[in-house]
Amino acid sequence: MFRRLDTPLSEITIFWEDRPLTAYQGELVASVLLRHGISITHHGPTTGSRGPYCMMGVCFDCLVDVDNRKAIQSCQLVAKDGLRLNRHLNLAGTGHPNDA
Amino acid sequence: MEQQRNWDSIVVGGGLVGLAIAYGLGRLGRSCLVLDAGDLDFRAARGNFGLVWVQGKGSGFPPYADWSMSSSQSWPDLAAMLHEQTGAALALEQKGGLDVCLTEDELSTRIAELTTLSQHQNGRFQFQALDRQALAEIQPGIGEVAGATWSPHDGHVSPLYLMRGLHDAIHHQSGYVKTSCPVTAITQTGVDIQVTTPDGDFTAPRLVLAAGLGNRALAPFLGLEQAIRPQRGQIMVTEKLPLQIRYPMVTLRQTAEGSIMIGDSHEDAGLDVSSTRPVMAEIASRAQRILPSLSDAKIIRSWAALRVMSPDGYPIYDQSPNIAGAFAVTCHSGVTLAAAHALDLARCIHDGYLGPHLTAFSERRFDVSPA
Amino acid sequence: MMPDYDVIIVGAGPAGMATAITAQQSGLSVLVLDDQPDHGGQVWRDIQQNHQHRQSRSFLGEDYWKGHQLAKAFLASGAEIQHQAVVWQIAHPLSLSVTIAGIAQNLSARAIVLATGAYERPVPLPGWHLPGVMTVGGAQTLLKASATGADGAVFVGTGPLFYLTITQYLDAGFSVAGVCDTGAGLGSPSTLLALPLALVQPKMLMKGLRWLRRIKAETPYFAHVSDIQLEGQDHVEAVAFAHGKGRPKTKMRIPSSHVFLHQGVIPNVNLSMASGLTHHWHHRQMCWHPICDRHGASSVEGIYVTGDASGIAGSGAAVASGHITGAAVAKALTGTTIPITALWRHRVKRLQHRALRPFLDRLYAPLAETLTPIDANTIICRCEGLTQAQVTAAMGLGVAGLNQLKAYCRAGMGRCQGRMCGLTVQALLADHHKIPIQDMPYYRLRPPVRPVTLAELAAFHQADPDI
Repeated sequence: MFRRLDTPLSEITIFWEDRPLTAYQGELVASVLLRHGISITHHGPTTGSRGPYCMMGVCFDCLVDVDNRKAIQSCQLVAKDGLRLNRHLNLAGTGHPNDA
Repeated sequence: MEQQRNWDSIVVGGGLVGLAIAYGLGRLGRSCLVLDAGDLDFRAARGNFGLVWVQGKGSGFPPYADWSMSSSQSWPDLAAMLHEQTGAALALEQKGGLDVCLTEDELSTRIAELTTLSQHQNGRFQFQALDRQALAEIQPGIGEVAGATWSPHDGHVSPLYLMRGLHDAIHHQSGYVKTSCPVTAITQTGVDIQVTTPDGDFTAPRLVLAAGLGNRALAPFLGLEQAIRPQRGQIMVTEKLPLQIRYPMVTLRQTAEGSIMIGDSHEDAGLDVSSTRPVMAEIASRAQRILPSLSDAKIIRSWAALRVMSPDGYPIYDQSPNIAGAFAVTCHSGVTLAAAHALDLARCIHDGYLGPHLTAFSERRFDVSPA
Repeated sequence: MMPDYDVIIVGAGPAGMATAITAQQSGLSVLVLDDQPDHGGQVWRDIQQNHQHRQSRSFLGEDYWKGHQLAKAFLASGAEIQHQAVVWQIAHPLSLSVTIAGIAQNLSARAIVLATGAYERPVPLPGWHLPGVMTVGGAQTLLKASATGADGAVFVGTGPLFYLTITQYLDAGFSVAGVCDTGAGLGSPSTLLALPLALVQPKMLMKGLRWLRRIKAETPYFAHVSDIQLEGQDHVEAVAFAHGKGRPKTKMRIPSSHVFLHQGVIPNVNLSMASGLTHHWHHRQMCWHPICDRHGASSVEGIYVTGDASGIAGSGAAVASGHITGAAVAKALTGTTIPITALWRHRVKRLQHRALRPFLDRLYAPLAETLTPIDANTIICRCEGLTQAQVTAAMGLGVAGLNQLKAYCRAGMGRCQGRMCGLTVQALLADHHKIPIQDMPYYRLRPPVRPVTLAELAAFHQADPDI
């Protein structure tokens, strides 16, 4: 599991599926999630489970839902106090008549 | 098969029009060679929106209305045959389609147009006019629009899986699609037609030109003109989203995979196939007015392609006056008409002459010289 | 209408910062747009922040701290910088579309400089899509951005960034469960032939040797690694591989829930391709480069490419390139000529750095099995979840190129727009047609090169419905 070497003073709280996570000002959301053992950030029928891969915005595999916004790259997102995050569920096409 | 020189038929053009005809010829037992151009050539078929559409088509040209309607009605057969032969699932859905009108003026003009169309067809073409409230009932989240017309004949399909399915099926029935093989000359040699390419000559007693804009250069070999012009269409595609669009809407449809396709422009931009921001912004703006809930949807790709437009916008089907067994085909509705091309037009070409229902589509209709 | 800026630079890494400094000094108005929270690029990520904690983050090493000098000069230069700015289109007359804090805008300039840097070559090994598998660069980003690392990780790959990151991990006190070196070593004649030129940079070579010696001493190290499989169902659980020079190779399996992959870096060309610049295939680096003159001027009037975005040469060369491009832009726009002595210094420096590349490119060439995957279940297109078998089935129909293949199987249609599958699909298709890889053109890329919301796009129309 990922761990952080230092303990900055600027502690904030973000929420992963309603569970509070300790984070620090300026930390990337992907980094906070990995540090708390959350490595599956998005899931879909064609992709299966996925998590942060490149950490620089090119792979689009660290997607999370943030407040009301869907499918946001968590490696490009800086943590802010009170941020509410959820695993992104890629439900594309499910329930479509053509899938039957 | 790659080396085979003599065929029962040759189709020039591996887009939706050429593939559908080649597939149809193959079904009739003819071996068929498709000569296709390169990967980066103008590929109208790859920019197709995927509508199987009847509503509003041919309001000024009844033969086209009939032709579109009959193709739409044959589409389930085409999809079933391709599925049976190749396992291809084309995501065909024909539950009806909507043409959304932003203003009352747009709506009343549209209703008048469709009423005329229906009268011309003796009521075979059906539609319903929906006011905003009625529209909101069948399409939740609809924006501040005037209303829509709905027609049960309309539907949509994956144009890309259709292409792949046709390609695959052609190979299943002793045909071959040869890529990156441009045609440079066509001549008659005895009973056969000879096609010259950088990879050598190929011969067949039947030839179909279905090369899109490429027909302009090749039609003169057949003694035809094919006076067509490019018209750019831009489309944008969103990330995959949960199902939210119930019926295809001319400029908006949701694919079986969940992406929402947003179209489309009609621009005279020469041979320029670039995606331009002003047009993309206008397309986005219209889509947002129709379905405000799409505001946060992310556009992940765009596409621009050149439609192949005849002077009046309708297809051109012709037989060569000089070379027996040679035909030229041009149209921009390669998806809607795929079933008619594969099942009806292909049989005409097989038999060697275009039936009476197709004579109206000859380029002779553009002749301005007095009869 | 007056353009908003003389120069807009995309990317605030070594090349972008250096371009900005020189252009600004020449009296031009300069805007730098960068998609990350702070400037420095990937190599000097968060340099400004970290410099305040230099003692506690000493594990980042001397090369990293060198970046502070340039970052400081950049901040002092007066060039305008906009962080977290996502550029998604370049249009003509010269302007670009950028989203900043959820709002899209259009900015015009007399010149645009692409300093978009590089990203790590995709490593399509069986299981590379599993959570827990990351790039070595990604692991390094966590170190730089938030002093975060994982104990018990396995590193698989080769290259300067590979050894550097492992060294940083050791210095930071993280335990390393295994290092699987996929490098071919000095064996090949072409590698040896490139060595004399590389001796121009003895310090860099020595540094590499020091890293390697240390890694061999302090970690379970395996050389000549191949046949790699990342095992696991919903998360990576182990790395299985073969190693050694003997035949057959020795099989090995290391359990771990963190695996970091690296097979070198490639220029970030999505924006330059979508903007219509001409590119060519670079044989030795096995990737596309935009065609530029020695100042960075591209095939499109007014657009320049500088630093690693125009070809991989490392951060030292990127800084020099940036200064050279900045001077070229100034000369083109104002006629100002930078004193020749100042420019020569950068030219010599760039030459020295580039001298090392032929050797490094060969020594750290990507492993064959990552270039053309042969395992049927390996994911090729991560976005669409397409396996090698699915992609090769579509190829089997006889497709002419990448764009037809994309239409037939959706490879490259996802959010990343081919960044993670393009080179692999190109290699597989070239192999299929038995033609050299450079003869297989790439995807036709189009804007937006990064996702943009419908509302952001529509706002442009509402702002100016007549355009």
